[in-house]
Amino acid sequence: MTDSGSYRETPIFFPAGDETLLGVLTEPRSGSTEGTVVLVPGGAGTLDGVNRNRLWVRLARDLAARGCHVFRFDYHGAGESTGESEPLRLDRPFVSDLKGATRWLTAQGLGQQVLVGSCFGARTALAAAEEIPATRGLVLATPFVRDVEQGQRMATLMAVGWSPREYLRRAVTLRTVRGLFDRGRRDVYLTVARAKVRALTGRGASGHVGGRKSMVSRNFLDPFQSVVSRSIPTLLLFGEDDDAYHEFLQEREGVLGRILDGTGRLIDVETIPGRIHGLRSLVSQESFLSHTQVWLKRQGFIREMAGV
Amino acid sequence: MDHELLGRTERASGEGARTVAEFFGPSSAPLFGVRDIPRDASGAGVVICSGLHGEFVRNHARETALGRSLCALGISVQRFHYRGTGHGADLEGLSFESMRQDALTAAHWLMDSEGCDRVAFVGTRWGGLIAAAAAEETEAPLVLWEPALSAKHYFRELFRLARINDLREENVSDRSGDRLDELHRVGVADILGYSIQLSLYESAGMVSLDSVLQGRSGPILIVVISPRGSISPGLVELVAGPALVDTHVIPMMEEPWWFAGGRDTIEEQALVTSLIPVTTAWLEKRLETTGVPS
Repeated sequence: MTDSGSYRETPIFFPAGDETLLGVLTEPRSGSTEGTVVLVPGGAGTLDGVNRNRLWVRLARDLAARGCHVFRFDYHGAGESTGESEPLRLDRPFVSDLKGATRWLTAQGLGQQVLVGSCFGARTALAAAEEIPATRGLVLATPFVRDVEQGQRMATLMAVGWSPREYLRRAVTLRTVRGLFDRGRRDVYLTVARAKVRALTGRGASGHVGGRKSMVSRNFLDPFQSVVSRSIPTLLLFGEDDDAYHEFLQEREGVLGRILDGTGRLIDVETIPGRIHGLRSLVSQESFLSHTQVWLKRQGFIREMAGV
Repeated sequence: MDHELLGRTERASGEGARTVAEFFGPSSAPLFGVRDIPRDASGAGVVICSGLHGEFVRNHARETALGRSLCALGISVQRFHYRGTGHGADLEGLSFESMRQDALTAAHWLMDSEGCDRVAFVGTRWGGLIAAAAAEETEAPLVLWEPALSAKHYFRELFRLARINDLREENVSDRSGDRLDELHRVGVADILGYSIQLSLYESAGMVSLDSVLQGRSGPILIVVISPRGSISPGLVELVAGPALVDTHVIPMMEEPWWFAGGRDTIEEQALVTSLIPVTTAWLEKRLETTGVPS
């Protein structure tokens, strides 16, 4: 538990696009470092500035005790922010929300910003980093390199991996036809079809990886290339058993690997045993906190490590 | 009550109403709260006692909607994060009593801030036990959404859910499987990625809805979600007791309180369309408001 005398917290409503979002700024009480860490909400069930098991609250207070300003916030349509909730799509991260947060921070003189996100939050951080000049670092936990809608991962992976002939063969089975009469399954078919069209038209990354079409998304590659071009230190953090890590390893054999090669110490790729996607266990949460703080210390954004 | 305002922000929330987010309470361990303030306040207030962890996340949008609905009738609404949860102060030794005290702190804060002379409590799941305990021995109207019947029953259900989830995710190799054993061994149990502290488990002990409602004379509304369209036997006994208890059953699939998903947009809208108006109308009548302010 962080000493409550080492930080102070202030809630703030700030504008982001047409919405008003709630954020909480955690400030060190004595002596600050230059960086401001922005904690970007993750995926389903964790769209607010608290995060699962108060992970963002605990991290914010720990980092503030080590001299860092930290900001956490609720996405639009979540927590205490205005707006309607919407399905999460990796190709449509909530960039406007994050830009609103960083704009407000910059206006307060907190311009050296490190964006920390997990899963959907990682993709939001990466996409927004291209448009946020104040970005000085990125921590991306389980960032999926392919675009999938919330809840559609396996179906999309299979369809994109199938050849067009295989795809058509499966599409005309009795089971598939029956599924057309079920709303839920129709939604899945539509998502899978969209993913297939994207892959066929090359709206995924071009090229092949080990004899099959690359499925890494341009929505990942382009901002990632920009991060590398701007020499922004980045930590990519995965669980060894995470689907996101397996995808990353597969795509690393292709164009993604060519970008990573030659980045030297700029891009750190670290893994943790087990799964950390969704941070659905106390063990994964502690591992995430530990790795994040070690990296932030190494980059000079915080003064000391918390009992690591 | 000597509590401070420790940081505050405000926004307009439509039709002249305002929403205030703030840290309040003892400066050494503040609560975080959000208050919906009507344009023309009636002097009535409602304190919403949220559930724990996953329940809080799942129910939050409904609680926010309830706040807006009540606010439109001139009722001020206080939502809050217990210390040791959400944005609230860190708290070693989270307990049933600390949560009950926080509910009372929130009530006093609402009354002092908005000049409310009468307050009702709304609680969901674990928050139902807290709300009932806070309203104990008062005549404050009490609304319970899917309340936990007892601490014992509640934790048994949680441990079972966690075990089912372990099996579903094939996550059994690094666990004994027995969350109660884990709780006693390390002081905290991992329930779907949320910490349940031994202090909370032990402090809640034999708390039951029946015990906290003993001797109560104020009105109660119990809302349940049931595919059978009926309330459980445990609640039937409660309803049959001497307290003034109204019930409302929403005939839908049971709520998967600790999991994401499970209801699509249409089902969620149907749930909210039933839950909010019933609760609002009941509270409006019990708090003796006079309808939409001019």
